[in-house]
Amino acid sequence: MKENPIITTDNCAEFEEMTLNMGPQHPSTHGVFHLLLKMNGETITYARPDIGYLHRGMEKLAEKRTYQANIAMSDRWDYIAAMSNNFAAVLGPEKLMKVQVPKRAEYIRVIMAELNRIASHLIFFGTYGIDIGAFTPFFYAFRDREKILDLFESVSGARLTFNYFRIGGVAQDLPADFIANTKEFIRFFRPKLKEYDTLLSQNVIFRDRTVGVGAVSAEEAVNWAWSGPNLRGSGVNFDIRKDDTYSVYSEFDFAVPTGANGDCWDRYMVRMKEMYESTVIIEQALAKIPEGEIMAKVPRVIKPPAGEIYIRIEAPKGDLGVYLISDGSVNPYRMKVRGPSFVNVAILQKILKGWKIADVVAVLGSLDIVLGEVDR
Amino acid sequence: MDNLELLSKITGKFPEVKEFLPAAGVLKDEMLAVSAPAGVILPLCTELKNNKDFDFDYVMCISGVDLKDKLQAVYHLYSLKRKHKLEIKTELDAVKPEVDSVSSLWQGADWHEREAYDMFGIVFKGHPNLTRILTAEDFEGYPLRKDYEGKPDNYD
Repeated sequence: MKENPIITTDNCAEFEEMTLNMGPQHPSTHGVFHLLLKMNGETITYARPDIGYLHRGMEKLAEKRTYQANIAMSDRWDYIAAMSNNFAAVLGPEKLMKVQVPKRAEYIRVIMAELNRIASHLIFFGTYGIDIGAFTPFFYAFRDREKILDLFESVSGARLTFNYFRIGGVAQDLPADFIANTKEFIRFFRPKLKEYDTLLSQNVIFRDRTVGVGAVSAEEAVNWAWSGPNLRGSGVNFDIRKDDTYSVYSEFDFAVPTGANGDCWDRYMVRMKEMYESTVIIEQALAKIPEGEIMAKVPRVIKPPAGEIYIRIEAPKGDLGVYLISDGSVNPYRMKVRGPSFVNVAILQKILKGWKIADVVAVLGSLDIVLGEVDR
Repeated sequence: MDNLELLSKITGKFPEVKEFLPAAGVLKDEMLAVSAPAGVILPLCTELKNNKDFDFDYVMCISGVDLKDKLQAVYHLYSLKRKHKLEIKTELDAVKPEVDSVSSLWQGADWHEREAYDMFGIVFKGHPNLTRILTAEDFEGYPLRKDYEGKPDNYD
């Protein structure tokens, strides 16, 4: 057996590399996510994200299920923004079948997707506070998210996995009091954004932990194919709702917040500002929503003609793409889901190097990943 | 740049690249699609990224597809500056599917390629860390291939 070398003050640095397995069960990984870290003292020298603990084979399952059943499956990709996933799941078959979705249904879809964006960003706000060490924001965020879930429950009957979109429209029309309730929610919610700012955004400890930490330049962010608030936090003004528009988003007037430095605080602030912009979109949609049908005339058995299509939407986490190949049967031949979290999290192997162990939690939290979407 | 101009510029530089035209009765979205032999993927992508006429700086998606008698790698590229899209399809041998990795050009391709390797067994030559990503290291077979048959486990 080889004898242990004698550690002196001169050579201690090279002998003290420590390997730390963060996760798969760790509160700040927001699910089952494993991060293998090597450290010299407290400084990260090597990081390897390890995923797949929540892999359910969604793409294989999709090939054995009908298009309608795949909408229900899509609820489980990014399970805190199921409405957005529904959106991506129906757009592909609709385009292949050349279905003209009624205007009212399009407006309902936009309202749901934007409400879901607020709900998703609220979860980020609450859990990111916990990651950094502030417990109170979590309660505020969940208190207010509850009101959105009540709205979702009133239209779909579910609070997490809605299965509300249909190929050609939506499952049910809005309940009679939905518009009034949503307006009431926006009136309630807007002052809360200021409250969050005083509670967390401008908190000195929070700013010390996030400003300048985990900075990613615009070129790097684009090269790593970042999308959503993460990309905009690095100063790239790219929003699929505006730049590659879909549904009726071109009819709304809203701003796209961007950051400047690409650090954790910028990514955080982009999401906080986006919540306000979502309320702006919802307000316009509620004012303009037309009366009429909520479902197009589609056959009972959905059989898109043979063909292929790539669609993408701006989900709360970023660019959610679906590559769909149909062979003309009732099941998709191939359905590849490009989850934004899956792409966003890959950069960790690069940017964590050089930061301290405590910053790992700040950087990981600021990416806002959902493991259901990373692993699918 | 519209699709026709984009296509003529690409085929002008790479004569072996052809426009992908779907078979009769098969639908295709408005995105320009080209098919390229596997050997030309790396030079083609290098040109698409570095030539300022194309400026493809963003990888939307890289997917594997099993066409039963052969495999296919499909690249969806996007340019944030010029707002145009391109789809590249390359057909690969079902027994020995190999293509050059583009992760040296776009780091965003890294995990997409690992996923295609994990699910279809497509080998991306030159990839810095081509290991299984979603399934376990000791997993056998390539689950998204059409002929894959899973072994029953404790839950079946």
